[in-house]
This record gives sequence, C-alpha cells and structure tokens, in this order.
Amino acid sequence: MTKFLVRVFLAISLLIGLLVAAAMVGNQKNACQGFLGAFLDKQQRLENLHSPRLIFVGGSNLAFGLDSQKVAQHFDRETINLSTHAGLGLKFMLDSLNPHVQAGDTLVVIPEYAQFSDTFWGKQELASLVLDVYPNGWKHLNWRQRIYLMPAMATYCAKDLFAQIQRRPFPKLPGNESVYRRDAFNENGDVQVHWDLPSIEIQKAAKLYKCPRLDAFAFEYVSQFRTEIQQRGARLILLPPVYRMASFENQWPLIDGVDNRLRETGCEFQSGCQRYCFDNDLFFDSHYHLTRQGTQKRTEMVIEDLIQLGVK
Amino acid sequence: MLFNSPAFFVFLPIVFALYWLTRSQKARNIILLVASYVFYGWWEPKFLLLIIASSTIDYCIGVTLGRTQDLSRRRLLLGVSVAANLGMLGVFKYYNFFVDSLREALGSIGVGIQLDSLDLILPVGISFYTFQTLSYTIDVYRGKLEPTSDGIAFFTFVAFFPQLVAGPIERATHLLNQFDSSRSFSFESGREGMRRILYGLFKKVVIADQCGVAVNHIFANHESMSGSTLVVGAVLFAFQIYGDFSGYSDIAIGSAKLFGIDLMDNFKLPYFSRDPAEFWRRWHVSLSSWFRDYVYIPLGGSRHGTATTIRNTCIVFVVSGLWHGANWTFVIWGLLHWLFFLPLLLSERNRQHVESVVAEQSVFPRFVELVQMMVTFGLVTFAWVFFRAESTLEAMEYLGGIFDVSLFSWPTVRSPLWWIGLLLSWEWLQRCRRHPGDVSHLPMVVRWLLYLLVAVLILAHHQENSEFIYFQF
Repeated sequence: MTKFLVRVFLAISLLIGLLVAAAMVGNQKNACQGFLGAFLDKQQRLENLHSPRLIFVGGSNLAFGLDSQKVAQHFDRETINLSTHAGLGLKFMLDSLNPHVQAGDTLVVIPEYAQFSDTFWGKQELASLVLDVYPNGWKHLNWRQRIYLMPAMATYCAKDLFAQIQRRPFPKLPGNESVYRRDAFNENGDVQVHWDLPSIEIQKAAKLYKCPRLDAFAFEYVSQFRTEIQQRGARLILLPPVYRMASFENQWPLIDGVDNRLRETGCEFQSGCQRYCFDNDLFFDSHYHLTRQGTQKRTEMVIEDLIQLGVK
Repeated sequence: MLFNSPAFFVFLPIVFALYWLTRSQKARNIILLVASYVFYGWWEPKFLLLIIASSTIDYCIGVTLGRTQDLSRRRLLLGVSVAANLGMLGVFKYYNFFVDSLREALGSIGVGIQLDSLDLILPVGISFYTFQTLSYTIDVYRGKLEPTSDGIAFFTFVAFFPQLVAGPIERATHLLNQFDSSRSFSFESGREGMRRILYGLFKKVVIADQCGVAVNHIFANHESMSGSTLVVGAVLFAFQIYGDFSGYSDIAIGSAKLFGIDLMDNFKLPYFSRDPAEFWRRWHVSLSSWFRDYVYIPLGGSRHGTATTIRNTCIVFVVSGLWHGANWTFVIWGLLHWLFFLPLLLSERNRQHVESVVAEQSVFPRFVELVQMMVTFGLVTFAWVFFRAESTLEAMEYLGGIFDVSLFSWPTVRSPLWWIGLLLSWEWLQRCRRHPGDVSHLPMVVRWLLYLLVAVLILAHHQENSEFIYFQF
C-alpha cells in the first residue's frame, strides 16, 4: 500500500509542478488583452467615479445588453457597467466591488440564473483572472472558494501549457474575435462593437425537467451583502437577467426555482422574470447576449424598473 | 456523480481510505454500500428507493428460492422477480413509448383513444442494475448459484458504485462471490486500476467529448452539411460513443480494482473486428453475453433448426435495440445489426473469429483483413446514424444527404479526426496486450512521461458537465 501511495503522490506532485511551471511562464500579456482584461479598466474607472453612483453588476448578459450612457443620462448620475463574464462568479463580483461601495451608491445586480446553482463560486474565467489578469483578486477568494477553484485552475494551466506548445493565443473565449476582447468595451463598460454584426444561430438551452441543485449559500450571501451595504448607506437592487424566449421555457425549472428561493430569502428580484423574456431575434450569439435593438429595449425596461423602485 | 467531475476525485480517495483502513470484510462491504448510495443519490436521492426496492425483492426471492424445491413455487417466485424488475423498467422507460406508439397507430386508422403519457424522469442506470439483479435470481432459480444470506453483500453487489450506472453488467457468479470473500490490497492491482482510470478518462474527455462537439454540430445542422461532412459526422459519432462508453467501463474497472474487486471486460477493441459477429463479441460484452445467456439460450438458441435460430437472433437484436432506448430508432438499429449478422449465420461463418485478435503475428493486417475491418466498421457506422438520430426521419434525411455530389468535396469539419488517428494507432499497437492501457512493457521513464502527458491532455480538454451517453439508457 505504501509503495502505491508514494507513487500516486509522486505522480500528482509532478503534475502539479508541471502545471505551476506552465502558469508561471504563461502568457499574462495575452490574457490582459483578452475579454477579461476589461476587468482592470472597469476597476480603474470605478475608482475615478464619484458617489452617488449607479453601478451595474452581473455577467455577460449585462456586458452585452445595457446602454449605460443612456441610463446615466436619464438619472444624471455617474454610471458604470462592471460586468464581464458570468464565470467570475457572483461571489467574486460582489467581493471585489465591496471595498469600493460608498454611501449613496445604487448597485443594480443582474445575475444570470446559473449564479445560484453552479456558477456562484466562479469558473475557469475566475481562475484566468486571478492567475493572469488580476492577481490582487486572490485576496477576495476565501479558502472554500480557493479549494473549489482548484480543478478550474488545473484545467486552465493545462490549457495554457498546450497553447504555449502550439504557440497559439491563450486564453481565448469562443466566439467572434473582434467582439471578445478587452477593447470591445466602451468607457462605460458596455460591449457595443457587435451591434452592426449579423446574429449567429443560437441553439436552445437544454431542457430541464427539474430545478438543478441550488446553492443555498449563494442566496444567503446576496442577502447578507445587501444588508451590509445598506448599513453603509448604499442600496442594492436585484433584477432578473434578460433571457431568450426559445430557451426560457426549457430552463423554466431553474428560473422558477431561483425566483422562489430569492423570495423566501427576502431578497427577491424586483421585477418579473417573464418581463425580461425577449423575442429570439433580439439576441446576438447566445441566449443572454442582446443585439442593438435588444439592448435598447432592455435599457428602457431597466430605466422603467429603476424609476418604479424610486431611484432618482 | 460523474466519473469526470472533480467531486468524484474527492469521493474516490475518501472511500478508498475508509475501505482499506477497515479490517473486517463486512465493514468494508458496508462502506462500499453507503458510498454507492451516496454516489447514486448525488443525482436524485429519491431514486435510491428503486434500487433498494429492486435489491430487497431479489434478495428475499433468492433466499426463498433457496428454501424450496417445489418447481411451481420456484417458477412463481422467478415470475414475481421478473415482473417486478421489468415492471419498474417498463413503467419508467417504456410506458410513454408504448402509449405514444399505440395512440399513433390507432390514430392512423381513425381510432382515437384517451391514453395520457406520464411525466416521468428515467432513473439513471435503471437498465443496468435491473439486468444485474435479475441475473442473480435467474441463476439461483437455475441452480447455478447458491442464494446468499448476506444481505449487505447482496445489496452491495446490486449497487456497487463503479459499475452501477453504466455497467459492466456483472453476474452474481462473478461479482457477488467477491463480496463474500476476503480482499487484500496489491500494488499491481492498484497500479493497473490507476492506469485504466487514466486511459478511460483519456477516451472520455479527449476523444469522446471532442468528437461530441463536432457531432452535435453536424447532426443539428445536417440539412446544410455536405455529404463528406455527414460521413465524417457518422465516423466521429462511432468514436464518440466508443470513447464515451468504453472510457466509462475502463474507469469503472479501474476504480473497482482499487478496492480489490475485478469487473469483467466490456470492450475488446471492437473497431478491429473483421465481421459483425466478431463486433458483438467485442462491443458491450457484458450486455451481449447477458442477452445470450438469459434470452437467446432460453429461447432455444441454435438448437432447433435454422428458422428458430433466425427468429431467436432477431428477437435478441430487437430487444437489445429497445434496451438502449424507447424509440423506433433503436429498434431499427437493432434490426440493422441483425441483418448484418444474418448472412454470417446462414453461411455458418458467425464463429470464425472467436478468440484471435486481428494480425496477431504481424505488425500490419493483411489486405483481406483490412478490407474486412473497414467493411465491418462501415456497416456499424451506418447503423450508428439511427442510434444517434432523434427520429427515423432524421436518420433517413441524414443518410440521404450523404449520397450527394458533395460527398466528393472536402469535409468542413474534421479537427477531431487527428485524435481518432492517434487512438486507433495506439490501440493497434496495443491490440495483443491485456488491455490497451497496459504500458507495463515500456521503460519507466517513458511510462511516467506518458502518464503526465495523458493527465495534462485530460485536464486541457476537460469540459464541465459532460455526461456519459449511456447514462440515458
């Protein structure tokens, strides 16, 4: 048994060593120029804005679906869209924002539904961010999250190693190269470079027969975060993400499950999920990413909701 | 819990440690049983009730069979077991299929009936464990096996987590006895287990999942694909399902070895078969041998003349198709294989490649062998189109699309073909070994470099939430 365990330990150590070496010589420059590199710009811009600010937080549903300038003009407030990718996980999005929240700020959090099932703690995109783009992000990860992220980090480093051997750019998000890069974002943090590009065919999201396992911690965390920032004089508004009609029905058990659980937690969506279910032709390349028309429609609806919720 | 998920790689070492830290066999069986229920309950805890019900019924029937010699009573007990197990399978897997088919058939002749489909979720692995537990009762009934009185051992035999959800479908004569006897850890067994796990993960993650992406794209857009791309799509699916299922079996066999348990081999290089009969001796061996022992032979096998043999083989192939799924596409898939098998049966050439491996004594196959392998692969791949398609209409459209001028154009999707070339080359070189993942003949440095390379390849190609195809059966 000892011989076996020693060999297994040795193999795992060699593998980890190889991956760590790959991560150390990885292409940080390329990662910073990629889509997630925009996180750095947004952080910097956030620091330069003055309270009371309107801060939008979410994944790419928001990056590809909001005209922040229009919102800013309407409310006459400094506005920023902090969203990049859902894979950063809602926990990291909120934790990295937390130190910057000031009295008078309004945080509009629009999470993808999966943030409450399997994305809350972050995915490979978070591994990419903290390894190559924003090493300071480590401090926002607690131990549980670091352990949870280990497989994603190992996978990311292995991909990095292969990309280095093949001399190809890494990391690279799937999709149109002119869209998924750092300079695709405008100064408010929205992606609009795809507005004149043709939409691509989108496959329906898989049909769910029951609600996937929801992460109880995620609901509790959002609720606690809201309480904490309220105590500091800021406000959190939770709105549902926009979703493509063709996939909405298939994913209904998840959507309904999240909606109900949020209600039970007392930190519910402050608008109906069905209200943000949009026609299929308003989407660009996924059931979350909107075209120009879709973005305009969504922006108007968000403004309407914020007015109704008393945002001035 | 998926074999290719991080959770499994936390679960497995914990169970491994608890198991070997325990001295008593009984306690080890209890650990395996609890671990198996945790593994299965990870998907949907309520379906544990089905496994427990199925195990309880067959355990009780087994014990009762051991106490009675009265033939009519024994038949009755066997009937109860068969009805209970196939009843559960029938309700969850086939009820909607039969109701829908009946409604459509009657509707086509103008008869309307009020029969509603049920909103049922197919419990993962039900087809596998149902057959496994059934084989126990049938073997006890036939007197081939002494019924066990050790409930823990029996429940563990039914639920043993490495093979619970997608086989190999074990026989009680092979697996149950291992839970009754003492086990000790051996380095060789552990090492072979790890190698098989690694090789299985490679086939699943690097081969099957890469092929799967291309296959999904080609099948979803088959109307707009060229004939050559459709051929590539069918070939890729052949390797997707091979990598997926044989990969699962390897991980199952490897994981079992870590606990000192031997599971039967389920795949023996099926794509190097020289005829369809040989293919079925190499593909999903545990299922085809199950059908042979519990359906074909009881029906009379080949003992009552040619006509009966043809009928029996037809039944076996159709039932095998239906076992895979409640859809006419699977029935046609089974029938196609029967048609491929029939000429061999009629010319009495269905047993010409029983034991030997192709080109056993040489590096390359003879020209005739190469042609035989290619024809067999072509036939099998043709049938896979029905297996993969969502309806017979889609399969017909797909096959129709192949026979077009565009068949002679350059396929637009071809990237995973490199991996297939690599897999085939490796398996060809390894074909005379105990298992393709057996690298014991290589120098240590080469072996360790291979382990590292394969591990990095697996990590680099890992896709989250990629399920195994056979889970749906």
